[in-house]
Amino acid sequence: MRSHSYLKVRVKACDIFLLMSLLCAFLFAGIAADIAKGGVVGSRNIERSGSIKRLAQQQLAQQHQQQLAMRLPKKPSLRFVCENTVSTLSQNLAILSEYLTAEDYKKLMKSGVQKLAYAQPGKCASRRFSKKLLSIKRRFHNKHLGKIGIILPDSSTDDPYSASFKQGLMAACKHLDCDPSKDLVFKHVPVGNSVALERVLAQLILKEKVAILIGGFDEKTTEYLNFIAEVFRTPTFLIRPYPLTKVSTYSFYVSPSQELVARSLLAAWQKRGIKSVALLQPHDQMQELVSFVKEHAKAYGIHIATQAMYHGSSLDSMQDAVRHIFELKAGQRQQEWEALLRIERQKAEGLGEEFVLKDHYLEPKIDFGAVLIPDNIKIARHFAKLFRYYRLKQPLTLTGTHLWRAKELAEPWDDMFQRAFFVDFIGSYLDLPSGLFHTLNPLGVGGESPIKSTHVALPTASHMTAEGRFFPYSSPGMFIDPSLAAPVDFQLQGWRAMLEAVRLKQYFPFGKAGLAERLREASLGSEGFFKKGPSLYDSHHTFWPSYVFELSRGGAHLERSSSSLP
Amino acid sequence: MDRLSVKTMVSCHDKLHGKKKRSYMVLRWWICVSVLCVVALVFSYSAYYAYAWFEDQGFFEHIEELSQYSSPKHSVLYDAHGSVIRESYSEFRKYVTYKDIPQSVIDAVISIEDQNFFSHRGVDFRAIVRAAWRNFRSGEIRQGGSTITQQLVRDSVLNREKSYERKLREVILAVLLEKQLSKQKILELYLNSMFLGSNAYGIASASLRFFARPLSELELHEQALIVGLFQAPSRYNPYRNRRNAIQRQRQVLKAMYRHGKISKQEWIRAIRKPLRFNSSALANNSTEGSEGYFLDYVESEAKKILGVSSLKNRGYSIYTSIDPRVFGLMRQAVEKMESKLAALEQRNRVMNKDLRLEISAVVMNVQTGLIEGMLGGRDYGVSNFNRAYQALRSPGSAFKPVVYSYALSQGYLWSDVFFLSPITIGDTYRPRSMSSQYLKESTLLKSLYSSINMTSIEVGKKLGIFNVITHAEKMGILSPIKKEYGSLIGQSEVTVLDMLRMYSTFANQGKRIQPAAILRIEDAHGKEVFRVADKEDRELSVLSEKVNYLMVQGLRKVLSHGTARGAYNLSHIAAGKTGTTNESIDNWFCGFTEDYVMVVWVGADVPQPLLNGRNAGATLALPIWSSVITPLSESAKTKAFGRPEGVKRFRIDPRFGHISQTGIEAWFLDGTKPPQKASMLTLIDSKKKMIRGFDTPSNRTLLAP
Repeated sequence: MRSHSYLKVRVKACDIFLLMSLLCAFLFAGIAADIAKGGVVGSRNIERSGSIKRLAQQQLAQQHQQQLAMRLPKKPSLRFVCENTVSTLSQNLAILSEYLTAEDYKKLMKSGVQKLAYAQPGKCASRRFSKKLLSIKRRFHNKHLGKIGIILPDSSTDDPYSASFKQGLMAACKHLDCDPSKDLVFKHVPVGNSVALERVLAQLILKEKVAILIGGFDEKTTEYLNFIAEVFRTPTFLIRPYPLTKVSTYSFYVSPSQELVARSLLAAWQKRGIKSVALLQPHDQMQELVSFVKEHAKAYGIHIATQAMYHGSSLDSMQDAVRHIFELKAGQRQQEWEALLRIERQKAEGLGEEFVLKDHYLEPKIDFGAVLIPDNIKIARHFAKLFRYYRLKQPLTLTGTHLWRAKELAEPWDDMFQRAFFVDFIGSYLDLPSGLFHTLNPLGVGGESPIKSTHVALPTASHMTAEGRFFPYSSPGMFIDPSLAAPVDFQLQGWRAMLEAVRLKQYFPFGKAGLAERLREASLGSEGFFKKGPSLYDSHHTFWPSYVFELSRGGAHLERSSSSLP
Repeated sequence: MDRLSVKTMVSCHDKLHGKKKRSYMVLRWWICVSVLCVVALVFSYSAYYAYAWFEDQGFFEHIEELSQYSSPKHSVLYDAHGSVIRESYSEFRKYVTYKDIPQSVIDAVISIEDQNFFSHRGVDFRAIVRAAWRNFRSGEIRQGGSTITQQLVRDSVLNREKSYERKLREVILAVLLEKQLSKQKILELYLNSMFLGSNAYGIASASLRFFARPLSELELHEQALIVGLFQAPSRYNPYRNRRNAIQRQRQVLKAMYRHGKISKQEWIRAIRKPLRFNSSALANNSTEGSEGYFLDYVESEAKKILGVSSLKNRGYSIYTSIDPRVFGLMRQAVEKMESKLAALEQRNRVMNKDLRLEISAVVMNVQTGLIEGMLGGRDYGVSNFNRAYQALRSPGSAFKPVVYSYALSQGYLWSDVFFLSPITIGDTYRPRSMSSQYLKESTLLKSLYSSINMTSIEVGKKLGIFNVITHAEKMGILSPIKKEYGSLIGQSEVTVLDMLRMYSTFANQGKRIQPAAILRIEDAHGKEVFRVADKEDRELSVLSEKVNYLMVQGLRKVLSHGTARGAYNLSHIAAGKTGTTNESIDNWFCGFTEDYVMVVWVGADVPQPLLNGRNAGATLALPIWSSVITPLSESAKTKAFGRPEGVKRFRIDPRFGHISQTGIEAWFLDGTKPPQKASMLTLIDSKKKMIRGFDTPSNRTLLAP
């Protein structure tokens, strides 16, 4: 049966071919699945770089599934935490060994976590089991060695102000009796390099076991630090005030709050008897400040009469904004305009004169006593001129923020700024914390300092300006070299962050979670520049004093703002 | 009757009889005497009557006038080198004495006009009778028969009315004149005073008028033509009727031949010679061309100085400051612009088909304070309206240095910063500026050389409009300036001379010069009646030397960095300012070196917008200025402006005013200086650095230094 043999052979070949095809299909599917998971097959780096992140993500993901509206439960159920811990530890224990020191890993193993980690999640039904697991986890998470981890951009080319921030940190550290070599751990991360950032964070949290983190010069780093703070319950001070979707319980902004600015402005208006204000907002900026002003206006008895947005690079846009708030735009007072034209035409006809349209105009309708211009002095001055262009004749209090503080605001003097005011977080530049200006020159920021500060100790209360002091514009404490203004602000923030971090040292026997609690409860004493007040606000901002500078020809009247935040 | 009486009677009778004869003779004597007396009386009375009548008619005065006749002298204008450039007269007269008159001319005149001249006593009765008979026969007055003497008195003191009364007067005067003057003198007066056409009086003037040569150079046939004009200068004017003129010329030559003054050959030769006419001067003016503008100006100034209403025929010698070389450069510069102006006119004739652009320019020597060149228009022959001192036009931005110089004198610095935004003055005045200038900042210096309106108005407003106007008047703007803010950017009208005075202040180290065009004036007798004051006496200190130097250096920037960059090559020794009014109606350039000031204006007499784009002051007026000043500066070896003590130089950022190594040069008074460091505005403008550190970077990325 020759045909049978032939068939057999053919059948066998077909079978082999089919089997091979199936194997290839499985192989390709597996590769595709691996790629979809986020890496090149066989790459350990991807595994490593994703491990700490995945670890945290998984922990959070499971927690978040149980929560409403993105709010972390203050006290998740024991079983929940246990199950979450079990599922993540069991998956990643091996990978953790890469980050933990040998000694720590040994301790971890000794603690019995291994046994617990490989337990089934169902074991968490046992309260005793859960408690034990959680206690290990807490020790694992809460453990710190009392250091302060600081994450900065890799070099000044990434951010020129990181150096200033560091100067402030170091100046404060020196002043507050901390030992940089022992207490501070500096890490530099190239901007945009998420791999390096994760590695650094893992080192700081798991190896260095820092108690506090300070960092966040760019938005992505800030977001990630906020995330890590939550996961590892590490008090974290964020440098730049990037808005976050959800601020972690353990995250705090070093920089002053926009809400504080808003309240200071409102308080100043209230003090001056201004009942109604107009708001000019630069396009796509200052939304937070403007929102806070509108939110709290009623509490101060102030009515927001009108608001307009503008582009600072477009004169047409600025003119449009002014016309809007003055109610001079087409259609705003149409009837009034038509009535005026009618009367004027009749007058001209009666006198036998030619009616010239451009000689007639509506006066601006102003039912507010102040206008907020939260922009730089160039825009503020151009707006002042535009107000005059549109025939503003009645007094109007122009108002601004710390962005106004420059001598070009007052030189050359424009009478529109008589009784204008702005809010800042620095009163006199002569009253900065000790040592800040001395540190400016060595790094060549802006050249020669105009202020020869000889402070060697923290300024005491008597050094501070009394309320109502008049500052001539030529006074050295009033203005600073423009190129130094931002560096000094960063120095101050460095100082502020270090102030908080060092104060926490007294609470270091507590675990990290406890530190955050202590931070919220603590308050500042009369400590020089930063005055007396709560250390932190509910909004996660650190406390800053605020000042109001009321302008007049020749100088400014300085007063301390009484506003504060809950 | 008594005895005596009878005796007496008898004796008388006897005597009478005897004496009768004697008495008759006595009577006859007495009658004769009486008749003679009566005749004498009548004669005396007639003579007295005649004398009184003559006197009443002014005959003696006329004779006296004629006896003392002297040809009115022209007033003459000279240029700076002493060459005659104009003679001012109402009638073109050139006096020639009898001895200088060629004999052939005398012969010609005698032959054709009065062949018995040397024999009659003023009146040729035979000619009169002959003429009277002919007139009687024809029934009208056709023929004259007047002698040369009669013609002289008729043309000099009588009219040409054809009447017997006029004729009688003429006769009497002619006789009287013959008594008073010699034949030669009468002929001399006749040949110098008679009107011979084309405004020429006398044969010497006619010689120049028709042949452009002195009388002594004329040939017989030419002399004959001129002599022929005596009878009817208009009918025989060769410019009007050549045929009649030649016909008359031949009559003269024929008469000369008939009276044996010339031979037949000479006669034939003269007839055959062609006549070539030429004129050395226009009527009433010995010059033509654009010098006329300057000369008109000089004449008007001279009249003011001398207190006369006219210079004509007064014999003044006026020495002016016009330099032919400078004037030549100005003419050439204008000629170079002709094609450009023609093209511009063509392009703009859509709106105005009669559009004609004009140019006006004046050059003054700073060292002497004298005007060396003036153009009041493109072509004097087309229009002699002198736009240099008669036309009032808006100077536009060329006026702004008034504001800036006053600002500097009041303490402003070149580094002062201004925010450029639209402004309203009063309630309705909204000066315009280029939209690209808004939302920017500018120093005072940049505002000057970039001609930014906002800054001028803002500064002027702060200084006070009346103060600025007073300052402008001190700087030489004599035309009334409107007390409006628009005047700060040159909307009030001024003359070119006003601007010349103003810029002379800058060129002359802060002292305004009163320009002069007349050096001296002499009267008809050669006596000096006017001499120009020294420059020092015509100066008025307006700005301090130091402030002026700051201003000059600022105006140099207009050439090196600003709206007059077309003259960049002169910026090391020159300074100036463009001026362009709205829609290029008026286009100016006013500039100077240490040696010369020149102001140029271009525009239409009837204000007309020009489709020429922006800054026509630089494209129309500046090239003319540059074409003149460049060679003048080269020949004068003009140096850079001298620097006084008490000023310092810095380099500043042109927008923000701080010291900057890469900035623009600016000068400051000792004791003042620009800001050392960059301002906040620089930071804001760079958009690369944060103003303060409490906010997020606006572009949400990390900042590069």
